[in-house]
Amino acid sequence: VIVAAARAFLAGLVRAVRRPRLLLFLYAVELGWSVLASLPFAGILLRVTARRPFADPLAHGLHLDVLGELFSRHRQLRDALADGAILGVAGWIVLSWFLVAGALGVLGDADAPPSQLARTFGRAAGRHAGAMARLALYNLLPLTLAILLGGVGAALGIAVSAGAGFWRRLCPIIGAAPGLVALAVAATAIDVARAMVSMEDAAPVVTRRVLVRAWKLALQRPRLIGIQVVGAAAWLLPALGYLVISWPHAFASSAAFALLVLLRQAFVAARLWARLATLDATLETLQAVRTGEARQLGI
Amino acid sequence: VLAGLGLLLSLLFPAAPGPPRPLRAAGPLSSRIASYQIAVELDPKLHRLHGHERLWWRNTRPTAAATLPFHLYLNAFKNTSSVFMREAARGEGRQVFPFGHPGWIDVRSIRSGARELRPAARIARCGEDDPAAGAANCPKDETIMDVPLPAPVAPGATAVLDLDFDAQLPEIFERTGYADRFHMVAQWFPKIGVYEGGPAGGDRWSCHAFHADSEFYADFGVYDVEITVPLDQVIAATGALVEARTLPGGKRLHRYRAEDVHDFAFAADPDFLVARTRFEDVEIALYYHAANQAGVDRELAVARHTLDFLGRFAFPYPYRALTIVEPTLLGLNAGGMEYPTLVTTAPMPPDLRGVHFFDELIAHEIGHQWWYGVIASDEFEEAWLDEGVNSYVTELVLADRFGEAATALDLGGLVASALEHERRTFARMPGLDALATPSWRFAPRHYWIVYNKTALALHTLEAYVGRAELQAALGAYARTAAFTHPHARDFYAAIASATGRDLAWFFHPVFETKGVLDYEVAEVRSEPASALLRRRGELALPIEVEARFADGTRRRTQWDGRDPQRQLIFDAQAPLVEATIDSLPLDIDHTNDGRRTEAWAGPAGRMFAGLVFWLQGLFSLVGP
Repeated sequence: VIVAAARAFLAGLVRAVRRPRLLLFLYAVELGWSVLASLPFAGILLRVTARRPFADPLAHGLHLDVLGELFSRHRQLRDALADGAILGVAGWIVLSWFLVAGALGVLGDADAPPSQLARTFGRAAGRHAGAMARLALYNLLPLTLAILLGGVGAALGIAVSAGAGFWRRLCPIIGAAPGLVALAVAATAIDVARAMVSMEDAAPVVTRRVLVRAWKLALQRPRLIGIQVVGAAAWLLPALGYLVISWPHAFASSAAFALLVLLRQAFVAARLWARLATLDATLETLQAVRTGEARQLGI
Repeated sequence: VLAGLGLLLSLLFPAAPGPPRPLRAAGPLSSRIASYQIAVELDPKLHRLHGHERLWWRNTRPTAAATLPFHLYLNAFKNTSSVFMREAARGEGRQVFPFGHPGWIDVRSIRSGARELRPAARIARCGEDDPAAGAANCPKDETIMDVPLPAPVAPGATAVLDLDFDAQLPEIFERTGYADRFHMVAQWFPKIGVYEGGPAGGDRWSCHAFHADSEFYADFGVYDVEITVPLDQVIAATGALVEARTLPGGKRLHRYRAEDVHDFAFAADPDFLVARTRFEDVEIALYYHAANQAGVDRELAVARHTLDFLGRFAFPYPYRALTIVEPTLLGLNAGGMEYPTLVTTAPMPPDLRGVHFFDELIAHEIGHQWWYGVIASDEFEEAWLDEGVNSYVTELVLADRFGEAATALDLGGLVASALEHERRTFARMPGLDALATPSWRFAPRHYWIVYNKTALALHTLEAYVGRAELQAALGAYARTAAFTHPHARDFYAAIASATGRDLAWFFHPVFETKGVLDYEVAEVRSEPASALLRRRGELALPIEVEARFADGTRRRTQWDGRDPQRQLIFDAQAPLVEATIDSLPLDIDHTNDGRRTEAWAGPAGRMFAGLVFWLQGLFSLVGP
């Protein structure tokens, strides 16, 4: 299952890279939104540090004591950071309903010429964003339950593994495993439901019914969960790579920091690419199911 | 010839090994004013103690004592009328969990020879500084018991009293009590106050009610304590175990002896595991629970390092035993506390390498063995002498172990200093009380300045007398003050004497007033080169300012800080780039300690780029 899922994911990666404008557009929107959410904090920080040498170490890296002092003396910095993060995330959740609908519309229309991509994206986003919002809302409960299950399992694992070195590390993972499995199924179900919604080009979709069908499909066809797992691994891989490369180094000079910024943005782009590939592979698999190729493909 | 004969006899008839000696050097080390022989039985099911205590109290003052006051600390947890519980209700103290099962102590009998004194003893009284004091219906506190004597104890004479008592341990609320099978038995027996010279002359008893924001004060002596518990209980206690024997009825008697100490505490738990190590001839025993096995080596390593550091800094640890008790998570409120030769810590998460909070906790509690244990200042009236000086020294221990910048954190290149954390904590409400405030008179939640403000003040003093000189002076003070109960005036005098400077200009405003220190470079001009310095707080300590010019030259100048502000005008060839005050640790705002003539977006730019990236990460978790 995993091999087949990996193949489907790789094919998704290839197809996604053939849509560079889509990848670039999603990256630009995410970057732009992050910049917008960060601006109030950055503005206040600039105001309070521009003429104060105290903050100079921050130009060469994360200096916790300097940041701590700035936060404790300037409450507005804390407020701007919290407001930016909360409003930014809330806004991004709403934006992502449009973005995922548009992206699936583009990915599902393989024949559309590049010049028509914007129109395809806009039409799909406008048509299906509401359904994406409802899906996200309905799937919130299973997602929350899965996260709770994982958390409680990990805590129990810690509690029963008292004292033993090897088991101390393994037991929390074993404890969290049922929650992680549930999380994978819930994440698969919502992606399957999103893909199903995008494939329904007919009248308004009854999203709850779609979600129930998606859950059934997710449980019946392990390849769909496999795609999600491979996608999550591909999402995590650049993160690990980034940590390995960047974590121990200060990137103190301007040139080193410019390199760090490039590295970070490459990581962000790779993450988005992996996400698009997951959506695409899910969509392709569902289309295969719909066109009756499922039996031939053995899924 | 006699010496040779003695040696021969000792070789022929070697003495049987005696019980472990509690001291590393020959005693007595203190004046041994209050000594106790106690036999106590702990019923772990009822969490109850039944005890008999014999007290020898020697009057070393020039006036006779007609009444002996005793602390009955456990009565703080008897009801909500106690001073402690009323203060705790106002947010004072350090309790984390709500109050559960109450605790109390009942002294059944007090005898002097054959004479019963209990009927004449007075217990309930109005609280100290209580607005309702004097009113007949004031809430009654029962943490002090006054025992009038048939005849006053004359100067140089010794009173011997026998007391029988029962005590109920509370569910651990603060420092003492039980949590499931874990028992921390502290402040549990009737304990006499300190008879001493008062600040206004004459003699007085220092015996305060148990306050939520105060710790303890007592005279040195010898403690010989027999603890009887069921066979399954593992005991950790003050002093050295000198005898253990099984009794009929499934019980076991543990006898501990401690010399030249001023309190006795013990912990009992059938689930205790014990890890031992040595530092020179000191046996360090860690009593912990199986869940925290992984943290054992780290705790013991910090303990050895602290004994080593303070031995060099002040004087060698004088006792043969050091016991560390790690409570359970439910018993956390008993953690982070010090008793003679015994400290309590907290369950240490083993995987938090690089996070030094637990190392700080262990080093701090063990550090108390010097400032609270041996020097033994009055924690009711001058808490900073112990907690504050110990906080300063704890940071030195951590700096010695982890480096100065990383005393709080050293995780993947991210470092943070415990001192800076203390400064930010202090700066949140810096000017409510002076350090020289009795513990119970601090504004609610402001008692903590005895820790952080003292440490910051001593780090600030380093800037004036030199770091090495101050540390040498503190070491000299510790050696002189050992076993003497020094007061603040003794501390000031010892530091001034050791550094050879008159430091009244520093000690009085910093320790005896509420004054706040905050200097600012308010304005700078490149041409003509000038800087406006402003003193925003009441404290006026001399400072140094450095001006940096466009041609790379630097110029340093001093300001005594007496005026509210001062304009510095530089006769310079090049334009002024920036002016910066040498930041003093006690200064509550370091962000305004410098100013430059041209704006620079470097720090904000880098943090902006970092925040954008981390928000991108956050967004990727929620969509699309």
